[in-house]
Amino acid sequence: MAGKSGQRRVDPDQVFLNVPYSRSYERMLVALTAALVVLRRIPCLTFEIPDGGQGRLQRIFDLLKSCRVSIHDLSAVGQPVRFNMPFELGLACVIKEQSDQHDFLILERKPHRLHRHLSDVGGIDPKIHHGTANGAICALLEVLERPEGNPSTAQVMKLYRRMLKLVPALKAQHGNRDLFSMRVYGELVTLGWVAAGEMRLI
Amino acid sequence: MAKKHSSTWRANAGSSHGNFKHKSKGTNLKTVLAAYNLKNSDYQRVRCLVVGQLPKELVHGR
Repeated sequence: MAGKSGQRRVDPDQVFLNVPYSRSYERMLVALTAALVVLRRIPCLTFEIPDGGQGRLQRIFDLLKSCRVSIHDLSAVGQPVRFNMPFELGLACVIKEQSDQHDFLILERKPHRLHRHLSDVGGIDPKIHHGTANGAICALLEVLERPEGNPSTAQVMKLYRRMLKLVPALKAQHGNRDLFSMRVYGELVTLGWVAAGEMRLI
Repeated sequence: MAKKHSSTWRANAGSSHGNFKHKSKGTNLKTVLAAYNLKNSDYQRVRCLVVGQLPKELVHGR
């Protein structure tokens, strides 16, 4: 990899999220975020890295390396074509191969579809969420755990619904149309923590 | 079943990719706020948003 490595320490609580940055995906993002909040993990996304400029690829690689786990939702097929997403999955594969301090999870909407588009990952089974918040939350609760045991999917769904109701007000405070900025998303995560605390989930 | 090509992924299939269970002690809210460069004032504003709209049965001590 060209450029100087950032040599970031692997943080066991950081989870890299490789998901479509589209408004149609926002509900799923809120579901994944609700699950990660309850599991007391910190979601990391590439919109915390400035667009363009030299070294963006290295910064993405360093961010991925600093996360113990990465989650790649490749369910958004069709237009617009998203080359960054399978590319970032490839980076995660390299990190896993080099260091064994990284695990990755692939999410898909439909069974058996991934291997038709991406046969190189044959042998790696994605978790199928069927495009539902419930499915996404289930998938995360299966692979991530907290010491005192995980809450039920139903409990996390309650948190998800609460967070979803507050998303419009959160966006309005920032004059944003979507959640895909560091500031707005960070406040969504914080909102999740406050709500989860009030609901005694964490 | 014919193998299309050899791959370490196939050799490791089922060992960890998507089949792992990762346990962690978990982080805290202070670390989360720092991770997103949020200040206490941001936290307070978000908290008002949540508590202001929280159903009575979920608000403790009221």
